[in-house]
Amino acid sequence: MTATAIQLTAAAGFDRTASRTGSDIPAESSAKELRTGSGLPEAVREPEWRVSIKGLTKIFQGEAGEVVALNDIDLDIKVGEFVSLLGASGCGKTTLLRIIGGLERSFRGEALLDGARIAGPGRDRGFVFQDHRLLPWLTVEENVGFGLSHLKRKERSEIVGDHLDLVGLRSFARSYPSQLSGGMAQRASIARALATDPEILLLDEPLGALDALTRMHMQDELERIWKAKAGLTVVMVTHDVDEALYLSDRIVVLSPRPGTIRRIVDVPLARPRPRESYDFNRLKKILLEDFELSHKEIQPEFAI
Amino acid sequence: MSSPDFIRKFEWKGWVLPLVLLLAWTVWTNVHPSLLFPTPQKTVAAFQEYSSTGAIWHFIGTSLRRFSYGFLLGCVAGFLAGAALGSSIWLERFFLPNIQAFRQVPLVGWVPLLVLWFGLGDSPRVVLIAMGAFFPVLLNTWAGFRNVPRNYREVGAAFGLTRLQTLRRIVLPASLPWVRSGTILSLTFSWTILVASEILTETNGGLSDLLDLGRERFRLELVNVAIILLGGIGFLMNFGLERVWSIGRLRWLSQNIHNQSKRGQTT
Repeated sequence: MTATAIQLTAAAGFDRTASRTGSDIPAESSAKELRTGSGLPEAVREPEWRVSIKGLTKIFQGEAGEVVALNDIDLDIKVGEFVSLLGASGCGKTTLLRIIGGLERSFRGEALLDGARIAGPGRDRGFVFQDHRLLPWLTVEENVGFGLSHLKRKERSEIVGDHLDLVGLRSFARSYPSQLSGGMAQRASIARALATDPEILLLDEPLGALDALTRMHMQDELERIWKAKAGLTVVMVTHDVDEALYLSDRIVVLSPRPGTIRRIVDVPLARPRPRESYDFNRLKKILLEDFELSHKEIQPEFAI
Repeated sequence: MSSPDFIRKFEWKGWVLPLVLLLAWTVWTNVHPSLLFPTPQKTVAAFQEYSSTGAIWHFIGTSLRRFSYGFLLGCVAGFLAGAALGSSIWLERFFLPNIQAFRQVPLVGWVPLLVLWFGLGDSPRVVLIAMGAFFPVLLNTWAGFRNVPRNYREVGAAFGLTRLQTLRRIVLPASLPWVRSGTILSLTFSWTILVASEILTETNGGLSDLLDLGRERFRLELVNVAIILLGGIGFLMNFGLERVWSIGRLRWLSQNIHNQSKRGQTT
């Protein structure tokens, strides 16, 4: 982990034993086993890092010259981890996600997925866009099965059915995307990304377009889905501090112009996390200070 | 769906104007009888006269045959050409400016040449009708291919589709709303060209024979019959084509339109 990571665990006295896995075994492979409850050989083969980024710099050629979207990024993401990329708009968080997804191919530095260079998109990564991007000419089930066209019909419909169940949309299988609400469409989009059984799910502000209540409900859904899919690594881009805190194992705080990692915050809170708890809000305050939003330091000039 | 939309949601408001006009026509022509403006009764009688001999059905059949050959040919050729131009920037640069120039020639201007090339049978008419359908379908298909939202292409990219797969699974379906508009536009256009082609060429047998007969014998009720038939058949074909574009796998096309209009009303 990088030097900027802050270890709040000891200082704040968080209860580590009540982590997601119900265990305080720190090794990633063990955590995976506990979640899957399945065989060892797979765990042995697992590389240490699912995603490993070193010295990554991305420059866009704009009309007004070069724009440094990301500057010298180092980031490692563990297998089965839920990581949020948090920052204001323009900090390059989406660009970073797109690079992991293989949608942006020209950059300097190194981006590895399971130890191999990322050369393009692939079925090993599921991408969920901010707008659901379901294809309007396909029914919900056809959309969910979009990445499974290489499979036989029977096999495909089985997988599609399972994933519709996972996101609770079985009864909307034959509907068209235009008949879904925003939250349902985004759930279908998550099901589509997961249907190819990716190792890593990339979420680009997936709940950004939803209203506040649907959003909180969908955060619970995301957590449930992540737990249900054994060994699934999730990288989520968000600008919502609460959302990042509620869902993430680690939060990568990015600062803009040029996009750099300001710090990486561990969130060792027990799940499900009560949003109104002391620990939750303590971390929230620390994060908000990064965005100069916490009202902690009152400028004397203005303190009349 | 138990019964189709158009039966469940019978909308009477559209019938008000035609009925009012029919009433006005009846009253006016009966109060002021004139050879130049025959009454509805005479028009109906003329229709019965010609339908009892079977002549009218022959006229309609001949016109519809010419039209459907030409229209289908033009649509298929227009779609293929539009798809080619839409998927290759090279083809577009070579051909699109020429196509734009070529289509500025009013289609009926081709009649003398087409008759010389294709003889006096149905062929020159079919070709002319096909040309009428060709350009709207071509340009719309091309525009549809060019206007596929980047977002949809990116979905394809995220799932690692090849160029050919992207064309088939993303570009083609995404352009269908445009293709649909192209065919609906060209239907009306081709139908007009049909009548022009029948009037402008000799040896007829189609619906415009009724127009000729009416003029030659000074029986304007025959002209009325022809006009009502042309309008009615055109309307039914348009209606039918829109239905064709909303069955089975194409259901989403009309569904999107309904949803958009619904949204439009609420905001």
